[in-house]
Amino acid sequence: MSIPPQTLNIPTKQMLAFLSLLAVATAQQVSMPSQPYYEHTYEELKEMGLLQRLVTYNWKLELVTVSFTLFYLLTHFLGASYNARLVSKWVSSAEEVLDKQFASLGCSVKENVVKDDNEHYTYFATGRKNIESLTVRFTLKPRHNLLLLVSETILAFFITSIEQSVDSVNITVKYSSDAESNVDDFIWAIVNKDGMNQARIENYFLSLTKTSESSKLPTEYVFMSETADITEEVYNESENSGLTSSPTLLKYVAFTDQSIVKPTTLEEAASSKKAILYTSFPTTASELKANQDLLTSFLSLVDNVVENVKFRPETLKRVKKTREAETQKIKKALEEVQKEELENKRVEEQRKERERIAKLSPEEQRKIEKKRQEKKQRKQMKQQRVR
Amino acid sequence: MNPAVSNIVLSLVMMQVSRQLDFENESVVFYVRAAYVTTTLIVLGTYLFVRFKIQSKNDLTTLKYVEPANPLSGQSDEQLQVTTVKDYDLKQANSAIRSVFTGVAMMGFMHLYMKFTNPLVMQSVSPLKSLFENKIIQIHLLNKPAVGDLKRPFKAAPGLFGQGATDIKTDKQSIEKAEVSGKGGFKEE
Repeated sequence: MSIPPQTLNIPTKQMLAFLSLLAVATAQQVSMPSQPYYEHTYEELKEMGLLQRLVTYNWKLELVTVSFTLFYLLTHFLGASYNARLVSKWVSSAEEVLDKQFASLGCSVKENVVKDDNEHYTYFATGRKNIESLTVRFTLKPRHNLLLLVSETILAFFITSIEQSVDSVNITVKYSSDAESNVDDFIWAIVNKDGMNQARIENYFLSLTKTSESSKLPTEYVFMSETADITEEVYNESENSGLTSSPTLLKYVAFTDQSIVKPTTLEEAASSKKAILYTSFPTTASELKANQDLLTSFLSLVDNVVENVKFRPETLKRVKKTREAETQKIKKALEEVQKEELENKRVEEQRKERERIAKLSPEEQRKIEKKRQEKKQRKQMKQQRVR
Repeated sequence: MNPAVSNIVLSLVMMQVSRQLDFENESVVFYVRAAYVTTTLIVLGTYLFVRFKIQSKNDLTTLKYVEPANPLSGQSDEQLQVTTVKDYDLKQANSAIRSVFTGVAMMGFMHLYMKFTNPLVMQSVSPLKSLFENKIIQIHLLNKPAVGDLKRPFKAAPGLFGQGATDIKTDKQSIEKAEVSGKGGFKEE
């Protein structure tokens, strides 16, 4: 070798060491017939010298573990970088649309997209009429973990409670404060039939709506809305058909003032208005183009909801009634919890009192017992008198 | 005939048949094994084919029904299911395929570990019977119209003594009540 050994940097050295190990191991495989390593006595091994020992030793186990580890590391990096590439593709394509509409794109100056972990990424945009912020949350398959990915796929078939993860994009729009005061309380959504039950189970607000098919939508989609005239008011077939033009992309688009997680306190049940666009992950060029159209239609629908949509008083009354019924349910549940706590406290106090009495002298115990008896008698007397 | 009753009749008959077989004889065991493997493959293949058929039909008619509470699977309340005919059928087909695999696992344990050959004889026939009793197969393979007993959502099969399981509700009133009950988004602590 022409390079003097001291100029080799450390990784190269390690590589060389590993390669020589491999070479030795394969050489050993070829010259198999000799006695196995563990059958030599200590003295024999001592006599052999380093090289001879390396040749005699069976490296099979080491080879298998090292090559498996390397393979796993390789798939980890390949999977993680594939996920990162998917996200950056989405962002660069979406920014062509968002750039015209938002003043500020990206999470921060340093990081356009924030990597939460290998399967979760976040993107952010702000500075637009009617909209305070647009937050994009990417959820991807755990491609960086091959074992998880495979076992998940197999187990999801056999155990129904295990969900197979899919690539998805969740966009949440928060209205600006003056726009928010313009928007009434209501829940309305277009949901893809594929996965609509799941959507209803995962989102509290959707489980307050009625599901209906409509001639205004392609067969792949349904409306989920609190009342039929909300759909009449919000959705306009000629203007909003861009939302549903790609049957595989849109999972749901929803407008809600109620939370995603079922509220357990009154604060959680309070109105928090937002618009949500939930899509699968576009990968091909045509899907990315469809995604751009979808984003444009979504933002124009948000504008329309803020600026033009006003409901009839009867609709608002019904919407309000649903909210009141739900807060009533929460209040009742909270009261139940409180009652239980009081009951627990009372039992605890009684127990403490009994313990205190048990510690007193027999004389005092008798006194207390007598007092209690008298109290009981008086109570009975009173009851008799009432009768 | 009630499938539970005919199952018992079948198992009694097969028990008599297996009594005539000499399981000490290597070649008899081989044929019994071959029969079992063939049946399993036929059943599995049929379900996979039906799955494929359901997917290519792609019937997106919406289907709403109220599923009764099932404390065993951690569902304490009855819940509205909003699904499509396609998804419903796929779910049924998947659960049938799952039960084929469960059966194979059980037979593997009984035959390979416990060394019983009797159940193999039984299991070479009864999956075929239940295959043709399966409603999904009747609709998609035998092309029977989806009315009466075959109307989705399917009613649970009656038990051996005629007792019905807690039934799925499809009347308009219970659906409308369950639809806006606000049971979604429940986070378990």
